[in-house]
Amino acid sequence: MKCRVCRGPAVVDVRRHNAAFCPDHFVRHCEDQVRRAIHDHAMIHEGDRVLVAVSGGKDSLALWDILVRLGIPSDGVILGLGIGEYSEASNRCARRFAQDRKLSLHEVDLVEELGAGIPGAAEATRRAPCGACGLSKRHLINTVAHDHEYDVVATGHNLDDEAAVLLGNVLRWEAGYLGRQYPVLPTSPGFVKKVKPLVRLAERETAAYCVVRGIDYQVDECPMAAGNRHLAYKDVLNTLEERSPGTKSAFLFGFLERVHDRFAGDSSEEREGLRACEQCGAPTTGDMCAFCRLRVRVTASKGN
Amino acid sequence: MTRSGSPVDKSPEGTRDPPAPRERDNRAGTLEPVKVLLRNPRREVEVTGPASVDALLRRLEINAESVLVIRGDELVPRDASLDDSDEVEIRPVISGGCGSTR
Repeated sequence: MKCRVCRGPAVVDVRRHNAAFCPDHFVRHCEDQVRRAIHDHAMIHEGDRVLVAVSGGKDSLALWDILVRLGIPSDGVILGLGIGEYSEASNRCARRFAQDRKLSLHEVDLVEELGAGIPGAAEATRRAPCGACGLSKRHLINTVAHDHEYDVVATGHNLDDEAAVLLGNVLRWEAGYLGRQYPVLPTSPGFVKKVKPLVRLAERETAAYCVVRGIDYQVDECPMAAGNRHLAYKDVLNTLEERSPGTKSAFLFGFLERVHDRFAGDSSEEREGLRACEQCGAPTTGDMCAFCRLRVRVTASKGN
Repeated sequence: MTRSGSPVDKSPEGTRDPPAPRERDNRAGTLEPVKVLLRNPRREVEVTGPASVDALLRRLEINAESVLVIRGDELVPRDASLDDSDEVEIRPVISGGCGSTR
């Protein structure tokens, strides 16, 4: 394989673009895709204070690295999820990344905020851990962004993540979720704007970017995620992609460009009914937000 | 050392064996197997005679879309030949765990 740009030896192929790249031009390809996503969806404006939601994995560290290389000053935030050595190793990767580049990283400990880490939260709710993890991340990262007056939260959701979420939402015709699924969630009372600048990059590309750039990231899969539905959707989509390159991209961008608008009304109705959580003040549709309800359940489970 | 062409599981736990190769694509003169590090769970297998990265992935029945192949600190492209006694890592790139909603 030869690099599409310079005809030198290629190290990575991107089949949906029918292209391969040498290390330097692959880095440029990734930067171009992020720059285009930011431009096409008006994600970040000059002077915005950007907070990157960091996990220590390939996507968020690649995102942070690319934003900095594009000249977009960004800080990071990471949660201590309390998933044993997995969490500790993940947070070490993020800390080292930030220290090496002299970047600012906020750290929030879930056990302090919730009374338990993800395993304890899953036990208290008797439900899959990924649900408690997702809602804790959304709540605490938004809280940090809100309290520190950031304009934008940037997350490492990539093309595969978004295509897999779309497949799950389509299979169950989750109209409200389909209306909310977009690379930008605008700011609204209590919610900081959220953007997904990696939406044009597959996760094979974000992993390759980290290898090429020498970024040390958490390679192991989260032990609590094994066998979850999201991974099954990705598996199905990659089987299709291998047979027909470009399938994931056509599925996601076809939805965003031609279908999303039809569901936008389903999600706006939900946001119009928001009020402040009686415990923490975060926006919620009920008396208490989902995170505070989770904390109540965790506390109750300890009493039993 | 096994020379049957089948990958040999060297994991300490002896967890799951990779599937048997679907095809025989031995190169003439291949004497030493390629050592392959797999993850989730972490284990090492030896594979005799894969001529290229593509052939190695086909033999292990791994979807090339879901992994990177790495030698040392460098990416190895799909069409690259693997030398005798090469040591490569097949690194999964799929991560999940964020549930069905965002």
